[in-house]
Amino acid sequence: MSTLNVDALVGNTSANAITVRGEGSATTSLQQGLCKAWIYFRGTGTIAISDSHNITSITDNGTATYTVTIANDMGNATYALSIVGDNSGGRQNTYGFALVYAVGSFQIRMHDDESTVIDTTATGCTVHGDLA
Amino acid sequence: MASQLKVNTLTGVTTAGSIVVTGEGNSTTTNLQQGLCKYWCDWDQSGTISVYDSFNHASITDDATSLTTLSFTSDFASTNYVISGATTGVGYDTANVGTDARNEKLAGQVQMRTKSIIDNNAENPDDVMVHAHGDLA
Repeated sequence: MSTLNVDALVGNTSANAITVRGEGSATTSLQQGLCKAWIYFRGTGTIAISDSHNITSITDNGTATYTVTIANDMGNATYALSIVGDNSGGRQNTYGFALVYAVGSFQIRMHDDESTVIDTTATGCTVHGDLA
Repeated sequence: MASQLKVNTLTGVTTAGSIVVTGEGNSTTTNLQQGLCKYWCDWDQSGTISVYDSFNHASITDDATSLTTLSFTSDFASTNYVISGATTGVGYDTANVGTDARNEKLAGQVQMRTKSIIDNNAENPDDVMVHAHGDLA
């Protein structure tokens, strides 16, 4: 079995493009397949980041509304953002939607399963797209 | 001609669990390990529960209507991972999937709840899809 010990991967033909053989016969792009940012945070009381990747900070914009700042910006604002909340405030499921997309940040708002805005005890977001 | 590297395992030199990758725009980098999806599962929750396909998946348990526990093969380092997904609708209804109570979210497993977004009723869709990002143990 071969093992490559390396600190950085850079494409040879194009620095930003490395192809990986998929599970079957097709290939995929290493860069395009990576999640470029994710965050898991507490949204109640004094908000706090529990864990994250490529995130600078989070801002409390009022009840149920948060702005997440990305460390290394995205190349454009057409990235795919997923949002999930835990069961908060006695409600079983909570949901989120994006209010603002920008290359360096996004703003989300959470609501419960009765469409009432709610500060969620735990919220997760993932970002897939092109880095700047 | 494009260069081709054949390798079975990638490990960081300075830090085994950290490899940097040049981003699409060539101006920034990202982290390979942090960017990888660590778990995903696609399952049928209607009738006898069964998994269509999965990655890093150990087992699935039908706990009750709308409640399913997913167990991971390689655990996360903490409970601070992000797991999100989607479902197919049930009949004319639309369902969604989310994590259940925080005490049901562990490093090695998580309980998911599927509900109607129309009337909040518990639902068992025939296709539920989730993926998880975070730090492996």
